Amino acid sequence: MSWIKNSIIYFIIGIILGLIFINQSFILIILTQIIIFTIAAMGLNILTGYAGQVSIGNAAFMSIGAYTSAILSMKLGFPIYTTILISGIFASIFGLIIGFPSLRMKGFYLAIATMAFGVVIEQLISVMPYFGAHDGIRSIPKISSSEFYSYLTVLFVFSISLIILKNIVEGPSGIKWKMVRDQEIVAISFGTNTSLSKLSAFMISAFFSGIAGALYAHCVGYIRASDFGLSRSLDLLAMIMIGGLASLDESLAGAIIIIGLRFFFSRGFGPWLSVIIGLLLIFFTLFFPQGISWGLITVYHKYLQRPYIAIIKYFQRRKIMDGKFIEVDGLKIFYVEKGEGEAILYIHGNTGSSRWWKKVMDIPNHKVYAVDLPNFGRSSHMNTAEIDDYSNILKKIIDKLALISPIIVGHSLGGAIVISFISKFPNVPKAVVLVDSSSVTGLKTPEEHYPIIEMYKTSRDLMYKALSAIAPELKDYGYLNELTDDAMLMAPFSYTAHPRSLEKFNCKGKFTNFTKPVLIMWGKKDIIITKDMVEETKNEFPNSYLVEFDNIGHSIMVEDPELFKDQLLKFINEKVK
Amino acid sequence: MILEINKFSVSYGKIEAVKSVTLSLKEKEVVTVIGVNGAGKSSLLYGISGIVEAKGMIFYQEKDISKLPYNKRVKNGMILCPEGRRIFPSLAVEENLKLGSFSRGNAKKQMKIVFDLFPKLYERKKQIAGYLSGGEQQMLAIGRALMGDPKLLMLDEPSLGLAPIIVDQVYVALAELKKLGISILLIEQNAYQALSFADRAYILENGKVVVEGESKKLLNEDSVRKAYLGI
Amino acid sequence: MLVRILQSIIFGLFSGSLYGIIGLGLSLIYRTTGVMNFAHGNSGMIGVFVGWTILALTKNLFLSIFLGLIFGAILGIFMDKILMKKVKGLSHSSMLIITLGVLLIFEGIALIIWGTQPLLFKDIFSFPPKLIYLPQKLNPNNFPLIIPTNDFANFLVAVSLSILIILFSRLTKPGLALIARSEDEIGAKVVGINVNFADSLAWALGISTAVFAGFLVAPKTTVNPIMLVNFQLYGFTAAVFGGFSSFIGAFAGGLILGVLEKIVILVLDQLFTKLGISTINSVDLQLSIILLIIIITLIIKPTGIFGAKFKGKV
Repeated sequence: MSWIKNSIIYFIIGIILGLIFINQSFILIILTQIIIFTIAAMGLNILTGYAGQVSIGNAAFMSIGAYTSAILSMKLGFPIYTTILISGIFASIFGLIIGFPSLRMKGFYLAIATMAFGVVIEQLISVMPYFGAHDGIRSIPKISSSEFYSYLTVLFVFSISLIILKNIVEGPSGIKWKMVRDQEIVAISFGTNTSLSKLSAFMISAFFSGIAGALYAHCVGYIRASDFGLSRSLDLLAMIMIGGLASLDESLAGAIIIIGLRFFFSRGFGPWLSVIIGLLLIFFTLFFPQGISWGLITVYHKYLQRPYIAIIKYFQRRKIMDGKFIEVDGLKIFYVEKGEGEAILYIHGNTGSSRWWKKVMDIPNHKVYAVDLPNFGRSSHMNTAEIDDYSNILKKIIDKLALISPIIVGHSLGGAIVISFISKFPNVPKAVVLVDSSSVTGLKTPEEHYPIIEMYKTSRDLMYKALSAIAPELKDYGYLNELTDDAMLMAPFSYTAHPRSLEKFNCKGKFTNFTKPVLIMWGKKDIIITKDMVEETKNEFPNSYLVEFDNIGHSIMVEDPELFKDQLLKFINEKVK
Repeated sequence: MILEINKFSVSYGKIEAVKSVTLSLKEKEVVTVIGVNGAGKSSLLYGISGIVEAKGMIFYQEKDISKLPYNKRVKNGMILCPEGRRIFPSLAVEENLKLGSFSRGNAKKQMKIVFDLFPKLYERKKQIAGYLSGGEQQMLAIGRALMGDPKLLMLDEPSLGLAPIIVDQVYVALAELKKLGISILLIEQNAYQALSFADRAYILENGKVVVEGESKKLLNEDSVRKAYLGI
Repeated sequence: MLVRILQSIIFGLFSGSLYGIIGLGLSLIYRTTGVMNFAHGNSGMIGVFVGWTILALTKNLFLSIFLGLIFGAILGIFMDKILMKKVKGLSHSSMLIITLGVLLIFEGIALIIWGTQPLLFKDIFSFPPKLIYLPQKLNPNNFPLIIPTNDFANFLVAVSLSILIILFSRLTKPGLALIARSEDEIGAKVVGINVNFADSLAWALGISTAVFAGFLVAPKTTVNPIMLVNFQLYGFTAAVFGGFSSFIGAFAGGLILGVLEKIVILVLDQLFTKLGISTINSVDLQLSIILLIIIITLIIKPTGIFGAKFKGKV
C-alpha cells in the first residue's frame, strides 16, 4: 500500500506548491504541463520501460485523445470529465490496433512502425478539414477558468493514475511484461500469453497518453496536429530516459527538465533545445541507463566520497597500533598478540582486520594472535586474492610466528581460508573453530550484487551499512566506525575478487580423515550464511560440534564478545583437552 | 617453435576464462587442447588469434606478437577456424572460399588444394552456403581457413555436432593437412579422436592447464581415460 | 487512362530511385554494423547544408556536391568512432535512442547555423521536360506523356550510383570486407578483415549516400532542417521491402515503393472524384499511404519481400 501513500504525498506536495504560486498563473501553467506530460510519460514507460517495446510515436496517442475530447465536448456537447475518459478509451483502441504489428516484430522494426504511426496520425489530422486541418482547433472549453482549479484537477488525475499504474506494474501484468521484455522465450515457456501481454501494454500505454492529451486540450484550449509530432514523441522518450526506464513517478524528474527547458528556451533559443534534448538522450542512455535518481546515488557512492576515503586510508595506515609486523614472502604482515599460554590464531573475514577480534583477545591461559591477512588492514597488498593463496600465506605466517598446534579460528571468508588450510596441512592445528564460515562448497554471490560490491570501495557510507547488516547486534557505534575504517583499507581489486574466489571454492570430500575437533558457530540472524550451509559444513567433518545463537547475526565476536569467549572456552575445555 | 604462449590469460569483463596458460607448438607439430565444455578452450583460441584481448606473452615464429591486431596475425599465417563455423551464410561456397584468401594466399592455388581435399565442395561451389548440411558447412569452414595458406592452423571443435561418419571424413582431411606440413592447434571435446590424431596434448580445466604430455601416453593414462574418455 | 497509369509509373520510378538510395544507405549501415540509423535523414541534411554553403561561397556546383559528399563520409566515420563504438554490446533500444538523440542534435545544429529560412538549391540538371505522344489508338484524348528530363537525369544518376555501390561491394577488397562483415563478424575477423575499418566504411558510405540523395531532392524541397525526415521514412520502407537483406534489395524496394505510391494516389484520386470529395487532396495523403504500406508489410512479412533467408535479424 506504500504506493497509495506515495500518491497522497505527491498530491499534498502538489497542493502546497499550487497554493504558493496561486497568484502566478504562468508558473501554474508550467506545473500543469509538467504533470500532464508526466502522465503521458508514465504511459510510455509502461510500453517501453516495462514491456520493452520502444515507441517513438506515443505523442500520436496524445493527439488522438486531445482531438477526441475536443470534438466530443465542442460538437456534441459532452461534459469534459466524460470526454476525457472516453478519449482515453478511444486512444487505447488505437493502441490495440497499432499493437498488432508488434506481435510480429521487435526492436528496430517496431520503432519504425511506431514512428510511421505517429507521422501518419499527424498528417491525416492535418489534411482533414473536420479537424481544422493545419490550423487545428481553437477555443476548446477549459476545465476551469481558474488556472489553480485546472492544476488541481490534473494533479488529482496524476495521483489516481499513479496508484492504478503502480498497482498494475507490481501485479502479475507487470511481471509478465518484464518477462516479455527480458526473456521472451522463457515467458512463453512459463505459459505467458506474450501476445496478450504486449497488446495490454499498448492499450494501457495509449489510455494514459490519451488522457494526458485530453487534459492538454482542456488546459491549453488550443491544439494542432503538429503539437503532437515526432519531436513530442522524442520529448516523452527523453523524459522516461531521464527518469529511468521501468519506473513511474520518476518520470516527473524528466518532465520537469524537458518541459522546464521548453519554457526556458521558448524565446529564440528553440534550436538549442533540440541539441540539449538530443544530448540528454545520449548522455542518459550511455551513462545513467537507470535514470537520474539512480544516477545521482551512484555518483555519490562512486565519486563523491573518494577524497574522504583517501584521508581515512592515509591516517589509518599511519595510526600507531598496538601490534607488530613480521615479514613473510616479502609482504609485511601486521598482527596483535595478547596473554600467555597455548596459541589461538584468529583469521578475520572479508572486509575484516585484526580489530574484529579486539574484544575477544583475553582468553585465560592462552596466547592469542590476530593477524591482518595480506590485502587487508595494515598488511601489505599482494597481487592475488584467491583463497588458495591466502591459505598458503597462512601456513608461512604460522611458521614465522612459530606457533605449535594452535587453535585456528576463522570467520566468514576466513573460515573458508581455514578450511582450505586444513585440507592442505591437516596436522598443523590442534583444533578448528569456524565462525559463521562460508561452507566447504563456497558461497555463490548473485551476479547482480557485484555492481554494488564494486561500489563499496568508493563508498564508506555503503560499507558502514553493509557492516551493520552483517553485525546487526553490534550497538557500539564507535567500534563499528573503527571496523568500517579498517574495511576501507582493503586492496581495491579484492572487493570483487573475494566473492569470486568464494564462488569457485570447493573442498568437499577432503576431510573424511580429519578427526580433530571442529567447532561451528552460527547466529540465526545471519543474512549471508544459511542453516543449510552450516549443516553441510558440519556433516563434512567427522568430529564437529555446532552451536547456534538465537539473537546473533553474522559476527558473534563483535556482536556479543562475552558469549563468544564462553563458547570458545567451553569447547577448549570439553573437546580439545 | 612456431607458437609459444606464456602466462596467457583471457578475460571477458570480470570473468577470467583462461588463466595463466603456458603452451607451445613446434613447427609441423599437431597439438591438441582438450577439456570439458566451458573449460576455456575456445577463449584460448580467440585469445591466441587476437580476436579477444588477452594478457601474457605470445610469440609466433619467435617474434612477440602481443601487440599485433587480429588482422595482422592472419596476414602472418595464423588462421583460426572458429567454433560454430562462422561461414558467410548468404554467399555461395566459392565466394566464401575466395574471402578466405582475403589477407593472404593465392586464391587459385589454394582453391585447388581445398577442392582436392573436399571434392564435395567442388560439386557445390555455386550453392549458397547457408543451404549446406552441417558436415559440408564444417568442410567449408576448414576450407576457408586453408584458403589463407596457414602456417599455423587453429581448429575449434571441428567435429562438433557431426555424425560419426562425417567426423571420420573431417579427420581424414586433417591428416592430409598434417602431411602438407601445417602446424595444427586443435581443440576438441571429443578427446579420444583428438588424442589419437595429435602429437602432444594439453588438458584444460577451469581455464588452467592441468595435464600436458605426449598424446599417446595420455591416451593410456588411467586418470585421463577416466575423466575424459569415460573408459 | 493508360497515359495516366504510365505517367504514374514514370513518376513513381523517379521518386522511387531516391527512396532506394536512402534505403540502400540505411541497409548498408544496418547490415554491416547492426545499427538502425534513425539520424540518417538528418545526417544527409547536414551534408546538404554544407554543400549549399560551399556553393554560396564558390558558385561551383560540382565542387560543392563533391565536398558535401566528403563531409558526409567524414561525419559517418565520426558517428561510428565517437558513438557507435560505445554502444557495442548495448541493447537495441539503447542504440536506437542514441541515434534519435543524434537526430535531434543535427536538427538543432542546422537551425542554429543556417536558421529556419528555407534555402534554394539550384537544379543539378536543367533540361526542359519532354512530351511524348502515344499513338492515337492507345490514347484517344491525345494527352501527352510528360517526361521531366531533370528527374530522368536524377533517376539515371541514382541508378548508376546504386550499381556502382553494388560493383564496389562485389569487386573491390574494401567492398568484400563490407560484405563479409555484414554476413558474420567473427567470420570476417578470422579471414583477416579489420572489422572496425569495415564499420567505419559502412558509415562513411551510408551517410554520403544520404547526402547524395539530399542533393538530388534539394531543388524540390529547398534546403531546410527537416528536408529529409520524411525521406528517411521512405528509406526505411524501401529497406523493409528489401528485407534489409541485400543492398540491391533496398534499392529495388525503393523503386517498387515509388510506383506503388503513385498508383495508389491515382486510384484514390479517381475514387475521390467519383465520391465527390473535394476537400481532401489525395497528394496530401502520400506519406500516410507509404507508412501504411510499411506497417502492412511489416505485419504480413516482417523479413521483407525479398526476405533474409538465413538469419532472422528482425
